[in-house]
Formats: sequence, structure tokens, C-alpha cells
Amino acid sequence: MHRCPRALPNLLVLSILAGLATTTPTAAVAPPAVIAEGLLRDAGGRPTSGTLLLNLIDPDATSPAAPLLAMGTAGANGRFRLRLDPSPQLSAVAARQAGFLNMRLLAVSADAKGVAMLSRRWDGKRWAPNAGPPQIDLTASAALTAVQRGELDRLRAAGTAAEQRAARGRPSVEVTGATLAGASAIGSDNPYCLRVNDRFLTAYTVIGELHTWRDMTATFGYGTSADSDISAGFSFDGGKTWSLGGQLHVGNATSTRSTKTVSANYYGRTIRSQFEYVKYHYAGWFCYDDTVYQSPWRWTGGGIIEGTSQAQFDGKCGRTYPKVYLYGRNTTWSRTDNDFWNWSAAASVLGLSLKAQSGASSSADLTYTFGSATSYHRICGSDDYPARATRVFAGP
Amino acid sequence: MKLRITLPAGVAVVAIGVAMVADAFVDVRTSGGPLAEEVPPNAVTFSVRPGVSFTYGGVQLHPDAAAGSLTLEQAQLEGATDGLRIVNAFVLPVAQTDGGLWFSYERFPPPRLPRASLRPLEGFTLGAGAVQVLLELGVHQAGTYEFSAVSVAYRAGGLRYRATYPFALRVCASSGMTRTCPPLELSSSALARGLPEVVVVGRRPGPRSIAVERARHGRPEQEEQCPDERCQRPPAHV
Repeated sequence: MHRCPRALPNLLVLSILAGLATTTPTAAVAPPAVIAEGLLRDAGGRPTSGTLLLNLIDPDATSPAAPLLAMGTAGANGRFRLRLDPSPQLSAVAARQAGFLNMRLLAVSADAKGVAMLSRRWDGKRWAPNAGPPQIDLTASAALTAVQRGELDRLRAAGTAAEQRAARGRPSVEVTGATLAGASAIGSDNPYCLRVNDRFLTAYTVIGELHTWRDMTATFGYGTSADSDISAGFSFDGGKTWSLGGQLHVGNATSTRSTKTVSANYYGRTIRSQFEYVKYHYAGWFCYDDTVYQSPWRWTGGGIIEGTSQAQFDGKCGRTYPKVYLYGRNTTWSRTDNDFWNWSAAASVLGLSLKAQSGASSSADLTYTFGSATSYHRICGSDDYPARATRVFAGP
Repeated sequence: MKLRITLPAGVAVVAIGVAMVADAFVDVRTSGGPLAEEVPPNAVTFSVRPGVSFTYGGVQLHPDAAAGSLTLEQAQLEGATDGLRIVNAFVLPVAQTDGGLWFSYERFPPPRLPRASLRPLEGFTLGAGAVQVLLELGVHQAGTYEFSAVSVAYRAGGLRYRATYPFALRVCASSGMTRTCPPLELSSSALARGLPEVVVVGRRPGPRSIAVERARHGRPEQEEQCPDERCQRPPAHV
């Protein structure tokens, strides 16, 4: 990163000037960055108060602990906001997932609970959303048991004590920082959960698509780190019925980079690669959740195979898709670091149809090589010019 | 993007101090400039002939209508190989590009794009509509030539900016029109996760009066006084 050399003497004078500028009160400690905010509703859709618990989902953790990262409350208007600055440990977890953290947000109202899954990337100063709206609309609809209500009361007490401790050192802090292995900054009252993996399974999942027309070759590159946001699901009835709960980022590193190159004319298909998924639940004292979850876990690093035909989108550049790039002969063009299409029915796991989107980081790229048989070549974007489009088609 | 004054009063005093101490002034802080936007990197490679100018049209400018008009000053190739030069820089309103934008072509102008439809970039006033920057590039000798980014200098609201786009090019020049030119690797340091960089320049730019904002996601990451000309050249995207 570019850093300009500092003019130290100037800064010294500036410091004095700043000291003289006494109109501004002493700077307050900035609160931690907002990692999740939104609205909690009851089963009838009305805003409701409740407690929010944010737990880490770490596929590479050697411990089954699911650390509580943040805890907060929604007022009577249902609004909530959770704040968290990543500790060095959390930063290390994120580094293994291309900068992303995956989390479960559990909301508990007076008599019901709701779940959302979310993924955030720390860009050094703030949490960046990777998929979906930054506002979380969460419905607490699953009834609580008497035992759970008792556990919640104890958890609230622990959280309140922690917030009071935190508030003494960091004003406006609504949540606590996190450490791993269950030793949360909530302290000796730490409520922690253990993640119990019930079952691992694999499924080919759509990572992108390739389209060609005459005299061109298209290549989709994926890895060496995975780069997909894939739906996670949850079930309140032990796995009989599933609901989508948001998309989690899969960014694990592998030793291989997979590519799929198509030289054939008039090709248009989705491409898929194999991912591992896990079905799990939480257990342990203070865990307070009997929901069953399924999450994308990791990319296996395997090869890329063909999926369903998408050729119906080609040959329509200019008319249906007016954002066209033209290239001359013997040209290679590549792009990276931009979201591709968010595919519905990208995979089916435990009967739940998942969405998947690649390209949030720089590990998924698209390359076109144009030949010399024709003097110029066209590709077009579905929603923007091909450098930014979520889908890139080929043809006249 | 709407200009946003980000400094509270106390810090404004500091800014005045900068002007006093550095014998220059920087009279604005913005959230990135009207053309600042997050753009993903891309790269193009093709073959050309020495002495025959060729086309590069990868950059599009998308002005924020709320920011008002702005005037383009100059396009520059960042990290360019010696010998690779801009012969002419043009703009073309995207709305007038029926049939698509020429991203690259081995000659200039490309087919079906008459020179008369092009307008010089320098002095072009950008209104509400997007324009394509169409560069006529040239090399004189055989060899491999590259640049790692394109920057566009412009004025808006009495201030001068430079927006840098992480769009790379490699051309292989030979009189025999070689068919193969090794493509640029997208993972190379010149392209890794590039984001537009906006250099905000005060009205009286000089070696000691440059404020540099590196805009990430449209927000300034740092603001520092730069004591020498090193800050005037954007770094390679690392």
C-alpha cells in the first residue's frame, strides 16, 4: 500500500496547532465497527424486542467451540445493531477464508427465536457486506421451550454484566470482543456453545458459466482459494423442513487452481465444482439453541465440470444485451475481482435448493482469447459492460 | 459522488497549519472525487505493428450527475514501458456507440468508427452521460510493451483530481505481426485487487502540497501530507 513519507516537523507544528484548536472536545474512543444491524420481528411481522447472539462459524477450527462474538438487544421497535472489532485471533480466522468471517445470528424474543447466517469481510476499517442487504430482517417465529427461556435469562444476565464491564472501558460498546476456544471476553460468565457436526456431504455447486461464439476461447479460473458465497440453511424441526438463512463465504485455500477452458464454438453452460457441506447443531451448557443447521464448509479443490445449458443467452449481443465490447484479432482479455451471477438452484443439499455466487474476492476470473479467423469479436454483459457484468455472453 | 467535507472545525485549523508550514495549501478533502468508483481489474493483450497506432478503449467514465459537470484534462498510462505512448486521447459518449465499445484493436481508429465521431479528451466537459476514453497508442520499435493502469486527470468544482483505473495492457509489436503475445497474469502485482485511486490536488499543486487519498470503497483511507514528488505518481497496485 502506498504510504507517503511523513513530514515530521510539519506534524509537530500541526500537533501544536491542533492543541490550540480547543473548540473540539477531547476525542472519544471510536466504537467498534457495526457488523450486523437490522430489524427483529415476531411471527406476525411486528417489530419485537429481543436478544441477539452472534457466533462464529469457523470451518478450520480445531476446537468445536463456537465462540460468541457479539451480543446485543433489540428494543421495542425491533431495531438492533451489533458491533465488533476483530481481535488478532479473529483476523487470523478471517485470513484463512480470504478475509471473510462466517457467523450465525440467533435472535430470541420473549417467546420465540429466529436465525440468520451472514458473512462479512473486514477491510481494515469496517465490515463489508459480501452478499445480500446489509440490513438483516429477522423473524423470531420458532417457539421457545421453558428450559430455553431459563437459559436465556441466565445468558442475558451474563451479557449485561459483560456489557457493564465493557462500558467502563469503552463507551457505547454494545458487544464484547471475542477470543477463540470459548474464552470469550464476556468473561467468567462466558456462555459458549460447542458445534457438533452431524454429517458431512459433498455436492457439485455452480461456480460460474462460460459462453463462446465463433473464433474464441473462454476460460474460467477458480482458486487457489475458493471464492463463493453459498446459501446456508436451518431447520427448527430437527431437519425435516429447511429454510434458507443467508449466504456464507467459502474462501478456503487449496493447493490447486482449477480452470475450465472451452474452445468449441457456440458453447453456453454453467460450470460446477465440488464443495463440502456440513449438517450440525449446537450443544453445551448455555448453548441455548436446538436448531439444526447446514452450511457450505469448504471447496474440495477438485476439477470443474459442465452444468446446464445457457446457450439461449448467446448470439444476442447488441439487441437483447446492448452493453457490448468489441475486440480485434489475436487478443486475450481477462477480468477478476468482480461478482458473477448469483445462481439459484446452484446445488441441492439435504433437499434444500441453494444459491451460489462467485467472484467476491480475486480468486475467480474470466478470460477470453479471440482468434484471427474473424476481424473482430463481440462479448456482452447481462447488466453492464463485460468488465463489470455479473454474466458475460458471446456472439453477435 | 457528492463532495463531502469530512474535517471537523478543529482539524480544519490543522489544515490551515499545513498550508502555513508547507508553504502551500490544500483546500479540500473529499470522499473520493466525482469519478471515484470501485472498479475491478482487467487486462488485455494483443499484437500490433511498430509505427502503426492501435486502439485501447477499456476506460469508461461514469460521472455522478449530482456532482455537476467536470472537465477532462489528460489521460496517462501508469507503469508504462518506455516507448509506449499515447498518440491521441479521445472520448466517445457511450450513448453514441451503437453496436458496442471497442475495447482494443490493432489499428486506430477501429472499423466503423470514423475519427470525426471522436472528440479530444483534453478540455472535454463531461455532463450526465457516461463516456468511453478511447486512446490511440503507438510504439516505434518491435518489442513487448505494457502499462498497469490508466489515469485520467480532470477538474471539477474548481479542484483537480486524477482517477486511476487498474486496467492493464500488454502488446507485442513486430513487423511480422506475431500471432502470439503472452497474456498478462491477472494475479500479477500490477493487478491484484486494484481499486481506483483518486489523487486530490489543490489549486496550486506543487511538490509539497499534494494531498493523497487512497479511495477504497469510495472512502478515504488516509490523508497525509506528501513532502516530495513521490506522491504524485500512483503506486503499482499491490
